[in-house]
This record gives sequence, structure tokens and C-alpha cells, in this order.
Amino acid sequence: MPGRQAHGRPLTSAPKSKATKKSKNRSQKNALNAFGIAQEHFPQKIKKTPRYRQLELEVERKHSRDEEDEEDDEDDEDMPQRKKIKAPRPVSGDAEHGSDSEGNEWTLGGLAEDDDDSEIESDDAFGDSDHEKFQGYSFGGSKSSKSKGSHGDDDDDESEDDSNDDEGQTLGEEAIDLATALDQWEEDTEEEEKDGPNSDSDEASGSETSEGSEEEEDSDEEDSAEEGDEEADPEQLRALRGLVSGFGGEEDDDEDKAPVKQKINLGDLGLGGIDDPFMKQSVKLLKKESKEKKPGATKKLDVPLSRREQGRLDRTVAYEKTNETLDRWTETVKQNRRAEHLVFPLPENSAKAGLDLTEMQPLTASNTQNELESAIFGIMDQSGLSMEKPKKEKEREYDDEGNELSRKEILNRKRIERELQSREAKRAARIKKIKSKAYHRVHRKQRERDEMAAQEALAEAGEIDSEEEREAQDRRRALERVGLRHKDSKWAKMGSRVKRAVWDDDFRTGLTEMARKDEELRRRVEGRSAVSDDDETSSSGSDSEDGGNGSLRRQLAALEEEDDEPQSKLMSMKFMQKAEAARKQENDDLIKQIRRELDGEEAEESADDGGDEVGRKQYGGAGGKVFAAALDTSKMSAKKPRKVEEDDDEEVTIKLSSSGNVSKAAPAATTSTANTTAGAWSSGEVRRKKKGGSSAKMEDFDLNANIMIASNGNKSKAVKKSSTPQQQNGAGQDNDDDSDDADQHLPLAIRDQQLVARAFAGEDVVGEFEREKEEIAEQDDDKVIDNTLPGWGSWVGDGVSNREKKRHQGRFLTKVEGIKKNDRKDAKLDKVIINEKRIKKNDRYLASQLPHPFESRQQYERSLQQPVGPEWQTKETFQDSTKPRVIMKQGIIAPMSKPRA
Amino acid sequence: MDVKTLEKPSGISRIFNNDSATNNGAVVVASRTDLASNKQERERVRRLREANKTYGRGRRVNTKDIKDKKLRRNLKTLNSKNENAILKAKDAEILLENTGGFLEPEHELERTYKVRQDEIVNDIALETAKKRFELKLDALGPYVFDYSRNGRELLLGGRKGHVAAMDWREGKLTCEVQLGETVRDVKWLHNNQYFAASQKKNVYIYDRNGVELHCLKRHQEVTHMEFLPYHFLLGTIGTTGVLKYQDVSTGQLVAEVPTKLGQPVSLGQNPYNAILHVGHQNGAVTLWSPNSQEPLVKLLAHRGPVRSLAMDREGRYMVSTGQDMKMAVWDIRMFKEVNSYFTRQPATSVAISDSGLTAVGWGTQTSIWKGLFDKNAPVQQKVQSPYMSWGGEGNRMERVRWCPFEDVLGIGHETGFSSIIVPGAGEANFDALEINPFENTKQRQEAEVKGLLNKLQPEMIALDPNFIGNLDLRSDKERRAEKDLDVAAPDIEEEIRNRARGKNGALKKYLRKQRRKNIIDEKRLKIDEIWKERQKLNNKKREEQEEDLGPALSRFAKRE
Repeated sequence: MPGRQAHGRPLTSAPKSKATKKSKNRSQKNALNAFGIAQEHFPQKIKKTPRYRQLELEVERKHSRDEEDEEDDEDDEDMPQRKKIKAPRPVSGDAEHGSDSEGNEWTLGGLAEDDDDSEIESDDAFGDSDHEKFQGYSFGGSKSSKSKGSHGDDDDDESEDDSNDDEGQTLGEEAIDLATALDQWEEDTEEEEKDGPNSDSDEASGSETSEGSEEEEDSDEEDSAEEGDEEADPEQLRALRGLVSGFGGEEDDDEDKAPVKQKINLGDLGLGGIDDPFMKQSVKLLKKESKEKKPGATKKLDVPLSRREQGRLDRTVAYEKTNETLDRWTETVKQNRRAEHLVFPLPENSAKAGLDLTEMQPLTASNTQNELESAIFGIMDQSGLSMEKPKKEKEREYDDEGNELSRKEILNRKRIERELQSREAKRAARIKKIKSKAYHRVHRKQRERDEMAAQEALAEAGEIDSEEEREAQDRRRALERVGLRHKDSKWAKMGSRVKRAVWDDDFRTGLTEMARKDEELRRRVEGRSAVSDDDETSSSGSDSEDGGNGSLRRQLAALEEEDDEPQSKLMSMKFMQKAEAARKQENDDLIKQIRRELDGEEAEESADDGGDEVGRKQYGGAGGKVFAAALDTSKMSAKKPRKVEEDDDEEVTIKLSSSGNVSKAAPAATTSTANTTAGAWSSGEVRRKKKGGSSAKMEDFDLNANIMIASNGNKSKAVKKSSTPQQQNGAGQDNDDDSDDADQHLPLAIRDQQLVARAFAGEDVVGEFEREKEEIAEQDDDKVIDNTLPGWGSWVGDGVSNREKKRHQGRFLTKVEGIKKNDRKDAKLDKVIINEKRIKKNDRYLASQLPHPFESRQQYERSLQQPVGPEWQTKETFQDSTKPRVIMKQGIIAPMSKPRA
Repeated sequence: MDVKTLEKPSGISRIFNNDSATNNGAVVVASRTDLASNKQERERVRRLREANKTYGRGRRVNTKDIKDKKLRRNLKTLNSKNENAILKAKDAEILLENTGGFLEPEHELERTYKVRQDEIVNDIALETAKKRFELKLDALGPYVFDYSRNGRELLLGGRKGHVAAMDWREGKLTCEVQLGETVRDVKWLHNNQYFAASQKKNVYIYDRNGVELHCLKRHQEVTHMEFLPYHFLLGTIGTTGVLKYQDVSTGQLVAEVPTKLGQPVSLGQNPYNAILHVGHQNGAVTLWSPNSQEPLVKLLAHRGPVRSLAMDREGRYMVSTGQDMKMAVWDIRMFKEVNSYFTRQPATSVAISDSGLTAVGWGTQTSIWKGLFDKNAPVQQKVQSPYMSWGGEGNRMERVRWCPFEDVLGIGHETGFSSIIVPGAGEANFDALEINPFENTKQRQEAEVKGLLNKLQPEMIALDPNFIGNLDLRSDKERRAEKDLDVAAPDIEEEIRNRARGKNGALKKYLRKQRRKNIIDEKRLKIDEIWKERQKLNNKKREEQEEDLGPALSRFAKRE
């Protein structure tokens, strides 16, 4: 800062401005120095204290020694300040010319000098008001100027000053009046005033010094009284020091500090006029103490923040609070935005809002709502009247050692048991099957014979009239078969109409049963022996019987082997082993028994076995053994070979019938191929011979043949086509009862078909159509366009060889994308041409681009799927879709209630 | 012989299919969970599947991989709404109180086609029996005819100029005229107020009383006519083989499409998508819309002239008959021939009823086929014998048509008109808001207005009528290539001057919007000019007005 650097130059300011500034300063100072003011009011009283007297003495001593100059120093209210200043003093008091401190001294000298003059008229010149006014100044000036330690030096300086003053030059060239300086410092206007003329400054300083002196005189009076107790405001002091150093040209750090801070003293608190000496003492002590502890000055109250800062903080807090309250609405707003429909007044505001309109439920102990109810329930419970069923104690399971089992373990055990059971059960079933087969086979003839005998006996006895009765019975049975559950029965129709099979398991099983029966009946019709189909196992049975006993034995052996399979850990458990052992025992017995039967030994041993091995308590397989024992095996061996023969026959017939089917189909195919190859004109007789195919087939076939002729295309394909539908139809024909209906039309129709075929044979309609299709496909296909211009880059005209011409052809080719033949919609369609050209008029109704929120075509087009009009949806859907988003009922609508957070 | 409802033959196999579908996958896993909810869930799924079959509209969108939360939520609600709508539509089926029924044989040897009309008439209610009648008109035949859309009125046209309109149930004749010219075809327009008759040279439009209203001179020597009720288009095709579309609401000729295949033999419309099918001499059937000069599809159905063709109500199947004594059933969505049957003589006329019965008039006989096609069957079965038959009395069949909403088949022949009863032919439940067979005058008038308001534009006709609003899938390159570069730029001045927008003219609006932006371009300059011009005019007007009003009152002159 230039102002401070150029300390030597006179810093003057216009006198007018100074005057105004001064007054302002004064008032400020007055305000700051409240304590001083307060003390002014009661100056005399203070003097009476003993301490005061002491000080007075001292002052007197000083006075005598230092004469007028010294008095100024003593004006200072606060002693400690002076002491403080002592430290820097020696530096400033070195009195080296040209140094920064010297300038200050000059000013001080000036002041001091003025003081001399003022001293003379001090009492007269100033009133009380003036005292007040100039208090600050006087103290300030004196503070910096004097210190007790440097009396001698000061004397010298002062004397010099005096002489200067006497000469009429109030200040040196580089000196500044303190008052001015203060003003300047406070207002930061040094720069402007720097260049002011010296004379002005001189005058101003002159006038001011006089004022300053006046002030100091006042303080003189008080000096004696205040000297001891008063302390300089540290803040002020520091500020002043900063100022001083600033004028000395130092970079001042203090200037950045906040404006002078005040200390609250007794005067501020209205205690300025305390008379009690003890009190005074204590106050003084307290002050001293506080001074000592100055580095840790935390005890003092913090100065309130500036209004701006305070305001900012307030606003941040207020903002946060407001946000918080507003955030409570977020959910409500979200919900309302997402809601499809809003109805005002809101349901929460309606009259029924808080009421529970659900049905009344019986009270139980668990849903009691108040104390009374729970109390009553408690009483009822105690007195055994509780309405709840006592909870069942969970059954606990224990293993063999009596340890309680966990749930998992129990489950495991159960699973294992089940597995075991099923395994053994399976084995038992297989054994039984083997046995029963053998058993039934042996017994069938016997049974038939018995039945016949019984019938005869009955007939002889005259209990049934055989013929009619039997017929009636047969009829009944047939009716039952026909009427019960077949495809066209009422039952099936009803079921299929309501689609029972989808949800009704019984019906589904019925359907499968029906299909099975149907199959069976058909097989019978086709000539397979119905007898062998009686039991469904017959087919496999016949296989086993082929091998005779050998295969049976093999099976038994396999079963036995199966038993010896390595067993898992589960099986090592005791209870399982037991259970299994029992089952195995049973099964093994059975196997054995069958073996015995096969060997023909059982006749002798049956009695014994029945006695010891098979007890009464045993059922199932073992029980069947009694029968097995009863059958006579003597016949069995004799019959066996015959049986085998029979079975063989059966198989052969089956084979035959199946081959018959094939052969039936095969000739059809061959004839058809023959027909196709023969062509339309020559196929007449062949067809008439054939009866099997329906007329419809013929006509299919006919057309195909004609197409073949017309197109001369791939023959084999056509042949296939003609033959396959025929076969299918042939297969289907067997089941259809309606075939005769078709036959009814046949002869005439066939003749017509042939005639037609002849009539249109000449026109190559199909070929023409195919050619057209080809053409169109060609047109739509990719095209290569030759953009070469003759004459550009080549010679044209006469004398250009053909080779040359050719060379220049096709130099600039462009390919126009079209629709490839394979990509055409009709590529795989026979006899169809689909136009692939875009229809421009329809484009008007297409969306040119995907509308905003949608991400894909599917989403967008889906959004269009739902119709809007009432014609295409139910009334309810329509009304839903056109319901306005916000519905307001007439009347007063209460505002939304505040959300609770 | 009793009349009963009959289940479709493929019912059982379909059920099995469904069953196997449910047994796969999900159900097995679900069985572990709570049984009750599982059962409910299954029930729900089953209901939904059934509803979807009849009322479904496309597949639902997968919302799982949509990132945008809002869109995902919106689409989810959309999905659920769709589902709901479908279920509700299914539930509303209980409101369809009438069920159709067919003749059903009591035992195997009985054949329904052997049932004679007098037997039926004896068995049915009196009121219904009245619907069986014969009109003996042997002088001016053979007769073509047309039922009005609601089946109330019948329009007869004798080849030799006899035209009569009548309310056939009440037997009331509304008009009868002798045109004195050959009448080739007659057609009701959108209601029973107007009809068109194609005469020797031109097509004329008459009103209900037989008063000639219009002569359509552009339609010459028309042999076949079809009316598209939702587009108000009268499609005609004549000996020249040019298909013409006339808008009967505005009177404009919408399109003129030469078929280039000579004189056509037959014409039919697909009620589902308003495509006209034309049968040609060479056995081809072409499909036309007014928007294209080439056939949309061309298929070779026969080996001789296609005598007649008809499409079913849902636009799935076409039945055509040809001179080659063949009746072909086509799937006209896949364009595959489903089946073909023989006819003993070339069939002259085919018609398909609402319930899918197909009437075929051949020679002197008419046979009615049931189950020629079944939309629910995976593979169409070949029918062995017709459902009913009629005729054989020496009258050549000219035309067969089903009466809407009735179990009645009308047959026009050499010696007049016969109305026979065919159980199960008509739609049992009609939607009175759509077509009302019992409408009164007021309702008819309202329906007419509504129909005109809902009129579809001819450009909306396409093979897939649901294309409207779909995304244009052309690439930008294609679009640019197809853009017409020769189109003159729109004239701004004209646009601004001529567009009337009520109080706020186009100019004012434009200036209001553009002045803020302060973009000066050619358009803006032009418009500013117009603006100044107008200002000047206004000022001039005002001054004149002020002068008129004099100095004292001039302040009241209107400022603009």
C-alpha cells in the first residue's frame, strides 16, 4: 500500500472533511469508552481511596521531575497499557533519524508541546461536554507517546520539538498529526490525502493539536484519580499499535482483523458508581486475573456473529426444516401421480373413513381387543370353559435307543421305509404275475369246461331257455359295449363340449379307458383272437410261454439274483432289515413254490408246506398257493406243447394281418403310381376296378396328374403326393362308416372328373401360371443396372470394333436391392402369387417413427391392440377405459390430510 | 329328427392337446405349493387360455427387460387391462342367450341330407315355418336377389327387367318396377333405403320406392356388384374386366382397376378385410383393394372359369366353385388349398353363412355343406356328405344367399325365388348396436348417421386390416429414395392467407410464435409483408370510419 510506504511525506487532508470525520469518530469513541464516561460522572469520589493517594503522590513526584511533558503521560487511564508499551518503546525511542519510529515521535512531540500551552488554560477552556468529546483522543495520543522508562530520551526529543514549535513550524515534513492519522486509518483514505499540500496539513495539525491539548488537560485532572485502577482496552491498544506500525511502513497484519472489539466493563453494567472500596478492590483483582490469563481468553462471551452470517445460518437451517416437512408429501404425490384414477373428496376424508366395515368375527383369545375381553377369556380358560380346542401335543418319535429324533431324521426314516416297502411290493407283484400267468394258463381250459358243464346242467334242469336267454345276454353285453363310453356317446360329447378333460380327472381316465376299449374292439374286429386279449398281459405272456418253463425259470433266477444286490447304508439299520427280511421271506417262498410247481414236485410237498411254512396269518401271494396246490399239474405237462403251438399260430396270424394291411396299402400305391404315369387319358379302367378309394381321392389324384402333364415338372414329387393322401384316406376309411355315402356318388362323378380333365387338358393353365410367377419373381428380384454412358471414356461410332464396345460395357454397375426369390412370401406356396410391392396409399396410416416412451415395435403395437370403441369390448371395459383420471364430486372438497411422518 | 346343438368333431383331440400342454413343466412344480391356491391358479390360467382363444388380441409384451420404470409400469397395466378385457368378454358370453342348433341324425342310418323341407316345416314352430316360401315368377327369370344387411328386406331382380323389393317376413312389397332392360345384378346399399341395379348398360341407384336416383355412367355393362358397408363403397366389375369402386356417400369414383384378365366370372367380398375377390375365366382368383393397380394375390383355384366364390365371416376361408366341377376350400390367410370336392355339375353359386354352412347351387340342385372348414381344427377334415340338399325340380339355380340372422337360405332360380329353412345357419345372437334386424325408423336413421361418421377410408383397405398405426419399417434410405422430389414446396402465402382458424388467424398465430424467436428467414419476410399489408388496410379502414363518425365520435372507431 503506497500510503503506508511513503511515511516521510506529509499526509494531509482537507480540513472540512476532517471535521466531519472527527465528529463521527468522536461519537464512536464515546460509545466505546463507556466506562470512561461513566467514571467522569463521579471523579471526586474515587480520589479519596488510599490507593489513589498513593498514586497521587507518585504523580506528584513525576510531575516535579518531568514537568509539563510528563503530565501528558500520566493522563493515561490505564497503567498496564503503558507498561505494555514499554517493550516496543526502546525500539522507537532509539531516536535515530530517518527511522519509522521517529516520525511518530515527532507527532508525539508536537502533541506534548501543545499540551504545554493548553495546560495554562485548561480549566477554563473546556466544559464537561468537551471532556467527553475528546477523551479518546487524548488517551490515544498520550498512550503511544509516553512511557515512564524513557523519560530521559523523551526529554531530549521534546526539547527539540519545543524549539521547532516555537519557530512556528508545527510539524516536520514527514510528520503526521496523530488525529489526522487516526482519521485516515479509520477511514482508509490515506491515499487521497497523501498528496495534499503541506501548508494545509500544517494548519490542520495546528488546529487539531490545540484541540488535542484541550482534551489532555481534562484528563490531567482525572489522572491522579484513575491512574492506578484503569486499564487500557487491549483491543484498542492493539489497533493503535497496528496503526503505528502501519505508519512505520510495516505490512500490517492487524488491519485484517475484525474491527475493534470491546470489552464489557463495570461501567457497562451500570456498576460504575460502586463506592465500596472492597468491591473496587475485588473488581480490580478480578481484572488483573483476567489480564494474566489473557492467552486463554475463552472465558469471555463470544461476540455475536454479524447479521449477514447469522442470516445465512438461519436460512440454511430454515431450508433444511422446510425440506423435511415437504418430503413427507413425496410418497403421497408419487402415489397420486401413479394412480389411474383419483376421486375427490378423497376416501380418507369421507364419513366412513376410520370405520371398520368388515364382517364381525367371533372373538377368540388371540384376537381380543381390549382388557375386558382378554380378562374374560382368561377366566374362561382357567375355569375350563375355553372355546379353543386344546392343542395336540406333537407326537415325538424316538429311535431304538430312546433318543428323540429330529424332524429331519423322522422324515428320513419314513422315506427309507417307504422305499423298502415299495421295492418289496414290486418284487411281490412281479412274482405274482409270473405265477398268475402260469396259473391262469393252466386253469383256463378247466374253467371253460366247468362253465360249459354248468350251463348244460342248467339247461337240462330247465332253468334257462338257452338260446333266447343267451342271445338276450349277448345283446345286453353288446349294448353295454356300444352304449357305454364311446366316442360319439352322449357322455363323451357332453364332456368335450364343456371341456371336462381339462379339469376332471375322472373324465380323463374315462377317456383313456374309452380309447383302450376302442382299440381292443377294433383289434377284435380285425380278427385277432379276442380270447388272447382277455388279460392284457397276454402279449408278453405269449412270449414267455414260447420259451416254456425255461423262460419262467430264467425270470425267477433273475428275481433271486436281484435280491442279492449290494445294499446301501440305509439297509444296514435294524428295523429295516427286519421288515425286509419278512418280505423277502414271503417272496422267496413264493418263488420257491413256483419252482416247485414247475418241477412238478409240489404235489407231494404241498401239504407240508401248507403246514409249516405258510401260516394262516399270511395272505396275498401265499394265500394263492392253496389254489396253486389244487391244480392238477399232470395235465399241464401234456398240454404245454399244444399251447405253444397255438400261440405260434396266433403270432402268425397277427403278422399276416399286419402284412395284409401293408399289402392292401401297397397295391393302392402302386396302382396310383401306375395311374399317374399313364396320364389322364388312359387311366379310366384301372380306376374303375379299384373299389377301395373314395371318389374324393380320385379327384385329388386326377388333378395332380393333370398338373403333371401340364407342367412336365418333377414327376416323382407328384407321384408321392398322389400316393400319400390315398394311403391316409385308406387308413381312415376303415373306421368310417360313411364310406358308402361317398360311394353313392361315385360312378357318375368319376366319369365327370375324367371328362373335365380331358376338357381342360389342352389349356396349359398351370404352366402359364407358373411362368407368370417366375416372371414376377424375376422382376422383384435384385437387379443390376448398367450405368455406363456410351462415349464417356470410350469411342463410339463407326469403326469401333465389337470387342472394344464390349470392353466398355458394364463399367459402372449399380445393384438395386429387391426381394430375393427365396424370401418371397409365396416361395413355398403352390399356385399362389403374392404381390410384394408396397402399397403406398396404405402408408398414410403407418407410424413414421417409434413414439417416445416405447422402446420397441412390439411394445408400441401392443399398446394399439386394445380397442377403444364400445363395439369391441364389454361395457364395463369400455367405461373403465374412458373413465376420467380425476373425478370430483360436487360440493366442498376437503384438502388432503397432512401425511404423518 | 331333432334339432340339437352339436359339438365340433375335433373337440376331444383338442382337449387332449390342451391337457398335455398343461402337464408339461409348470404344473408339476406348482403341485408342491399350497393346493388351494394352485388349483385357483390353474383355473385362472385355463380360463384365460380359453378366453384368449376367442377374444385374444395379440401376445402380451414382456415387461421384465424394460429399463424405463415408468414405461414398464405403464405396459404392465396395459397387459393387465388387456387380460381383464379378454376375460370380461369371455364372461359376457352368458349374455348370449340363444344357441344355434343343427339337424342331427338319431341313428346311423339316418342322413340329414335326406330330410325334406316339408318334414322340417311340419316339425318347427308356426312362425318359423312361415319363413319357408316360394315365389313363382316364371315369366321374367332367372332371378338374382340380395338380402339387406339386417336380413329384413329382400331385393329381387329378374333378368328381364323385373325388380322388386319386399319385406319378406311380412310379405309386404315395398316397390316393384319393370325396368324394361336386362338386369344383371341387384344390390342393397348400406340400408334398406337405396339399392343399386346393374342394367344393360349402366348401373342405376334407386330408392326404396323404386324411384331412380342416379345413373352411374362410369360403370358400364356391369355383371357383378359388391357393397362394402363400412367403407360405403360399391364395387362393380363388368364385361370389360375393370373393377371400379364408387363411394356412395360422396359420389366419387374412388378407384378404377383393370384386372387385365378378360371378362370376370364371379365376384365376392371378404367381410373381414373388405378385399374383393374376382374369379376369372382361366381359373385364377385375384384379390383386389382400391389402393393398388395390381392384384394383391393371385391364386390358381381351378382349371376352368371360377363360377362362384364366397368367403367366410372371419376372413379365414374361401370356397370357390369352378367350371371344372370342383369346389375348392382355400385358407386365404396362408393361401393354401385346404380341400377340394367335386360337384356333379359346375356350381353356379356359393354362399357361406354366419355359422359356416356353405350352400352350393349346382344344376337344378342346392346342397348345403357343414364343416367344410373349422378354424379350431389343426387339420381340416374332408366332409363325406352334405348337410342338407334341396331342389331337383328342374329349376336351374341362379343364386344362393343366406339370410342374415335367420336359419333361412334364399335361392333364386329360373322360375322365381325359394326360401328354405336350414337349421343352424344363422347367427343366433345379434348385436343390435351393430346391425339390428328389428330396427325401427329412428334406429335406422341413427345407425346411418353413425355409420357415416365411422366410415372407413378406402386407403384403409389392406389384406391385414389391423395394419393401421403400425410402425413403418422402411429404412430411412428407402424412404428418401421414394420421396417425390418434384413436389412443389408449399406456398406459404397461400397457406397463411387461406387457412381459417376462427378468431385467431393463422397469420396472427404464426407471428405470435415467431416474433419471440426473432428468426428472420424467407417465410418470415413474406409474412411480415402480409402483415404490413393488412395493417395498412386496417388503418385505411379506420380512417374512413373516423371520418364518417366525425371529430367528436372518431375515438369510437374500431381499432384492429
